[in-house]
Amino acid sequence: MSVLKAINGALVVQCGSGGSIESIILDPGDLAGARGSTFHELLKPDAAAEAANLLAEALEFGFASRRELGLRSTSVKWHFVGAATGNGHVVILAAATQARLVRLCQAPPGELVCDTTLSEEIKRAGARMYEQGQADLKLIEELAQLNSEMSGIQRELAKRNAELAHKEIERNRLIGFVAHDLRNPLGVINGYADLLLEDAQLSAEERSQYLEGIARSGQTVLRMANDLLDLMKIESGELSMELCDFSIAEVVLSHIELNRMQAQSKRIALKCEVESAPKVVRIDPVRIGQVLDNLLTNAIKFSEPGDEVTVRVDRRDELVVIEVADQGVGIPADEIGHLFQPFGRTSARPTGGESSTGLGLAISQRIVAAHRGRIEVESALGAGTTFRVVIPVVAAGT
Amino acid sequence: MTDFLKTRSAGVVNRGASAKTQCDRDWEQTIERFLELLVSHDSVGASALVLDAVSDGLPIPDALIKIIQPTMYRIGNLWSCGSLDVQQEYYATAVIESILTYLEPRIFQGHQGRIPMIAAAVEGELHSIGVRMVADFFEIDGWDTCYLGANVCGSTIVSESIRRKAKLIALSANGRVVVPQVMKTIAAIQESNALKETLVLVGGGVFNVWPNALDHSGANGYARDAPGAVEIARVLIESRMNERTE
Repeated sequence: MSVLKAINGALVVQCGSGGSIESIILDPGDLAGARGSTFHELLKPDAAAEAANLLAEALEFGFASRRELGLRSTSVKWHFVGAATGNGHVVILAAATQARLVRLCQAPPGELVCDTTLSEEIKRAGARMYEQGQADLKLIEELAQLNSEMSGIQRELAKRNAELAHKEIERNRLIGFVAHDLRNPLGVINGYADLLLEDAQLSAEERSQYLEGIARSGQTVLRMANDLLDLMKIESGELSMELCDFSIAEVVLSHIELNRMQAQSKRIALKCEVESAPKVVRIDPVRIGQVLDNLLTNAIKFSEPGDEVTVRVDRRDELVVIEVADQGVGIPADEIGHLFQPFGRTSARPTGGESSTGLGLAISQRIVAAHRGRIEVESALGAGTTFRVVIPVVAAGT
Repeated sequence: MTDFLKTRSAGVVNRGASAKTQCDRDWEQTIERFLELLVSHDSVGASALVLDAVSDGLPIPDALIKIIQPTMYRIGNLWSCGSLDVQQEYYATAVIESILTYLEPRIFQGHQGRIPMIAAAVEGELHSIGVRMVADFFEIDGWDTCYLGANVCGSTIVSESIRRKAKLIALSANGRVVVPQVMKTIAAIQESNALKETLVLVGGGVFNVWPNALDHSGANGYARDAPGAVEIARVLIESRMNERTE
């Protein structure tokens, strides 16, 4: 089989100086009726001017350099070169790809054109095209790599942009909640202060009652300010955990004692099972104590008089599980997802009308996450809620 | 049984012959048109075809899987049979990357604290559209994705995975020649203490046509395409969490 015939997707035609097709040397498959028509008619209308340039260049300089022109029969642009025969004719070579055009130009003399000199000229042009093609390819590969990198960076930027926008929304939401929650205790402080300032006839008992109100509201504001500062520190990565090997049972027992009075005031029994606890766990005892305080306070707040709150500590392989279970009002299933968001309050109400900053669980979750752990929640309406703090016995990264 | 063997069957998408529906024919026309625009160097038209369809309500996953992926397969086939130059393939790739750049802001929700994953084409592998689509599908599924791009050396994949605390790494390879690089990269991941728990998924042309490449890769799982990768990753992560709590 001839070299020429083995090249698919290529065409070679000989044209007169005006572009009329005189002979078809290689037919890509659909040129049977093309003899007698013109070179221009093989091309898309918008390629006519460039086709005329190709013919003119070949006739003037002996050879016309590579051009990409649209063929009528295909949507892909083909690569074209032209060579003048010396007697006013032009041989046009074209292929679907540049690589094929190079192979076409390398076809043996006699297969492509009978004129040996012309064949050599085409071969040289093919070699030049090949070299240029290789240089172009290297450049294109580098450009493609750069483009790919840039496109990847754009993706990362778009992602960061979305995160920033989301943070902005979250920050505004937080500011709204803070302003709303500060207004009540500050209103109480202002109200009582006005009464104390304006009414000189107040009894000592009334004065004492108003001052207590101011002190209580002041405590609420202070607690919220402290929680907010904790949350901000955690979010900005400024709150470092001071991890050490510590008795988890000791942490649990001490914080149960801290909350016992509050529980007793509501006639709630606090129970503790720490027998299966690992002896020591790599934790920040102050911060894990803060988590326990928060979970215990919540359990007491949402329990009815006569209920029990049980704290269990177990070891599961390399994990320690601290469970705080109450028999309280429970949390609706569709609200559990919001629990750990700042101010993500649920529809459940404290049974004794206690107040809440709405930040405790958000802070607790972040503290536990800093120990490479997680908090799990199970709840049934009217039957109670169980929070499980699961952390590695030896915290990762230590 | 290895993770890979457990999940491999799940990753293979049934491409059995079935009667073409009107819907298939509509997609076929869209793909043909998209291909025509790409090979005729009409980047504006090609971008408009996909972006307008998405603006008109086409879900982004459909745009990726039903238009872009099959078109890229066809471009690859046209190149491999010599009907397209490598330059034309690069051009089409660049246009599609640009389309993805326009689409991606719509899939980023800005949430944080989700499972981090890394997606990359290994060193020597210049084809990255597929693995970028994998990253996009993970992002849509709620993962915290980081797409590292094409031709990424193993040490970069390891260091970025450590830095971002990746739970999953998706590696892509198209040609057989880069399979040793996949194996080296996975070995480097597994040698890193910080990545002991990190799962590795592989995918790409070479794994789809040469299953032997999978057997020696050391990966935890394989997926034929982006939706399959998300599905397998969920299974692997869930089974790992169950192992921990058992």
